[in-house]
Order: sequence, then C-alpha cells, then structure tokens
Amino acid sequence: MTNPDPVVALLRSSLQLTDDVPLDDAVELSAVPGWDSFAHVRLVIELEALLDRRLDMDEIVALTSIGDIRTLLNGNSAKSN
Amino acid sequence: MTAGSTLAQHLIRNASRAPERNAFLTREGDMQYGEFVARIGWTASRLRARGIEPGERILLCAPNSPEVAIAYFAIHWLGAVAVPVEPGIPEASLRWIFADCDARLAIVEGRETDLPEIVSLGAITAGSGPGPLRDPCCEPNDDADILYTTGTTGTRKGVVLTHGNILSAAVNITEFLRNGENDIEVVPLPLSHSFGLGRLRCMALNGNCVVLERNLSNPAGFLKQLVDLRATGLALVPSGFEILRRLTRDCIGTASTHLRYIEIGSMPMRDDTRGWLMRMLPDTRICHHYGLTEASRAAFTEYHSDADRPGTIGRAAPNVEITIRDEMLATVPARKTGEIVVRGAMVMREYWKRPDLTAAALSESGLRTGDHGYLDEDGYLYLLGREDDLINVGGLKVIPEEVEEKIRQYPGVRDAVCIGIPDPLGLSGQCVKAFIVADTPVSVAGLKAWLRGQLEEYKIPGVIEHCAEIPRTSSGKPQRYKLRELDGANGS
Repeated sequence: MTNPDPVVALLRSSLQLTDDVPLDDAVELSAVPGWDSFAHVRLVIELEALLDRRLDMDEIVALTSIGDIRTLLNGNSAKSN
Repeated sequence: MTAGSTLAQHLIRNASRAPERNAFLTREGDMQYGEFVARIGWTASRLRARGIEPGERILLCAPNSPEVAIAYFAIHWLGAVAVPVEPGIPEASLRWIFADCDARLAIVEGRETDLPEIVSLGAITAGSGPGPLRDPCCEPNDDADILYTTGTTGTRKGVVLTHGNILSAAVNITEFLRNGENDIEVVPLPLSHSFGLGRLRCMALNGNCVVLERNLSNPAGFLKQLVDLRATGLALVPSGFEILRRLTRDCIGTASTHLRYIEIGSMPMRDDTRGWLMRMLPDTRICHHYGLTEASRAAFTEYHSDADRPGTIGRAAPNVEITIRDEMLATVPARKTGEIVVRGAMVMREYWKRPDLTAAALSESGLRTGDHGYLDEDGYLYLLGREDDLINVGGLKVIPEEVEEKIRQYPGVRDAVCIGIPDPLGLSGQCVKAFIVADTPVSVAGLKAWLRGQLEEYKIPGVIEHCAEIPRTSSGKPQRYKLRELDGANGS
C-alpha cells in the first residue's frame, strides 16, 4: 500500500481541492483553482504547522510551484536528519 | 474647490501644465500625462466613429491597467456613461447588467463573452488613430457612471453618479488625505468598485502618479515594489493589510520613511492590526473611510489623530453632513442611535430605472444608508451595524440568498442557508458559512469545486456544515439569527 504524497495531501486539504485537480511538481500555485492571497496565507499557516516553525520571507517568496513546496519540505527534512 | 467643473477638465489642465509628468508606472513602461490624455482623446474618437452617442452606456470589463483608465475617461469625454464591471464576474451576471443598463457596447479584455456588442480594450485604446476628440462633451449634471452594487433583495442596483458627484467625492477625499501632484500611489484595488475607482478619480483631479496592480497575489513582491518606488501613497482594504502582516511580518515598516498617506476602506480593521499599522508607520497619515457606492467616502478617521477615540469611524468627510435620524427622519440627539443619513454633493443622483428604491433612499435629509449608529458630542460617528444579512468578505458584499440558491442546485442537497462568520484566519473580516441539509452526506470538496463554476471566488463558503434542519419562520423564511446564535458567531 503506497503512502499518500504529503505535499499533495496538504494542498488538497488546505485548498479543499478534489482528487481530479492535477498537482504535479510543475504546477504553478497561481494556476491552482481558487488560488488567491487568502489561499496563500492558508498554505503558509499549514506549512508552518507542519514544520513547527515560522517561515521567513525569503522562503515564502520562493514558493511559486508545487515543486517549491516539496523542495522546502525536503530541505527541512534534511536539516532535521 | 479647485477650478474646473468636471474631472475631464482637471485632467486636461494637469496634462497641459506637466505633460511629461508620469501618470502611470508599469512593468511594461511608464506613461506620461501627455500620452495619457492624447490616448483618451483618440479612444473617444474611435468610440464616436462606432456611433456612440452622449448618454449611452458602455460596459468596461477588464483587469486593472492604464488602458482601463484611458477607456474610462474616454467614455466620459464622449458624454457617454461608464459602467465598470469586475473582470471575474460570471457571464450570466455580465449579460444581466448589459441588458439592465441598455448598454450600447462592452469594452472587454481577458475573458470570453457572448455579449452582443463588444470591442477589445487593446483595440479601442491603441496608441494613435483618427483625429482625437480634444474637448470633453460632459457637464457636471450629466451622468458619468453607473456602478452596480449588491442589494439586500438579491437584485443588483445600478447607482447613477453624475460628473458633479464624482468630482465632489474626489475633492472631499483629497482634502482629507492631503495628497497632491507629486505623490506616487500604489493601488491594488479593482477599478470596477467605488474604492479603486475613487483613487483613479483623485488622480485625475490632482495629477499624481499611480501604480495600478491587479491584485495582491504576490504580497512580498508587492511590498518590495512599494519600497523600491519609494511610494508616497497606498490604497488597500483591511484584509490586504492582514495578508501583508501575515506573510511579510513587519516589513511594511521599511516604507515608513516615504509613505505619506494610506487610504483604507470597504470593511472595518481589526483592532490589533490597526495598532500594528500605527506602530509600523508612525508618521504616515492612515485614513480609513466609511462610505457607500451611493455616497462615496462619507466619513473619515485618521488613526493617529483619533487614537483616543476607540471604536469611532471618524467624522463627516469635508463638505459632507452626517446626521442620525429616527424612523420619521427626525434628527436624534448625540449618543442616541438611529439611521445614518448622509448629505453632500457626492451623493448619487438615483438608482438606475428604480424610482421606488430611489425614493426610499433619497430624502430632503439626504441619503438613508441603512446603517445604524450614533454621533458623540464632538461629531464622531460610531457604527453599530446593519439589519440586513449581507456578508462582508474582505470588503466584497455577499448576498446569502444568492449562494443558497446555487447550493440547492447541487445533487443531494435539499436545503441550504448561509450566514457570515468571523474569518477563521482573521484576514477578511467575515467568510461565508453554509448549513446544508442532505439526504446523504455531500462531499464538501466536491460542492466547493462545483460552486467555483457558478460563483465568484469570494462568495464560495469557507465553511460548510451538515445539519438536520434549517430553522425557519412559519412563513418559511430562514432564521439566520438562530444559526448565528447556535454557531456562536457574530454575523455583523
């Protein structure tokens, strides 16, 4: 049994997206249905809860695609190892 | 009041005095006042060549850009009436407005539409063309704009504003904000609503420079631009400041050395955000208006000056009179509550084709706002709320019945009622909460995805809750107050 992708799961939960919305790494956040500045804040809040720390402005600015979110989470995992 | 009886005449005067001064700064290049006014003239000429006559209505439906401003003033130049419409409006609503105002033409960009008469914004405002219309054909008592606003009955109302109305509003705002020709102002507000449009009109009056943004989708980039430009002015809704605060922390403080004024409007500001903004910008004139599309910027408060009056929304704007009236429209004394009534030269002429609503709203005393509040002994106004059920999402008004009707069309939903609840994120003031009755549980994500094709994004419920039954009166009207009480939410 495969584990659900945590990045995709976070986005579907944060933005209330159905399973048919494509969320591969190349997808730009601005292209996600319902994306706006409020969605941006919801995402940051969920990421900070997941990472148990506040994101700095450079990290927030760097989040423009699904892949960027994965990079952030993978980078945080590397730091904690 | 400065010389000139219409904003069009002020624009011509400003362009004549300083044609090389920047009107707009954009990523694609700067536009000076000389070019701005020339293109207005060419655009008006093209519209006339299409047979547009004075008094005819022209829809304007496009994302913010200098070309939108060119088209807006070109419509005025011709003596026609501008009908600005939000670019993301559903097609059915766009068609409804086009028909309701008997529009002659729609100027459109960035969307597909089946409207019968359209022209692209780019084509109509292109750089040069036939001999420009040099002299505006509008007079103060002529209709300038029709702004469609949400009403309490579910039907949009067209607010008719004359050239005299919009010039008066611009004069009043400028007198309070104290901005002028040397200001560089950033405006990430839609030009289809009264707030953003009011900033554009003030620009025409003052001859200052404006940086138009389409939205706040990149808050960090927005703030960087504000600082890099050394902007002296900013217009933003409270939810925009909540977003800036949440995503950029205290970085707005770096603008304190150059930001002279801010105009805020459309919804109340949270007390803690207000205090934060005052700490970040101790020398900036932070002006928050109260007003309606029908009566632009009726009152103003300046945060620093009024710091010792918590809860006030300020005093009547310059050249405006505010009174509190009872049901018989008799003035009530200080500290007594009643309906807020506004009088001033900026108050609308009428509701388009609705003499009944016009008669109900306009009296010798002024415009009945439908808001309740009181004045203190020094004329400071305190707003207590509205009796209707409008939901205010980040300054945008939502009629619950409209959302409910859509939700009931979703398979499996038997009944639905919406209320406003405090936004859980504390950003937009309120968000929509829907209570739904369904025979079997409905997928919340599926319902939201379906609603996205039916409604503007801000109308989509942020919270959806299943319930067994909707409380209703004997005549079937939903008792939203009971849901608010049960929910423990403050719906005002």
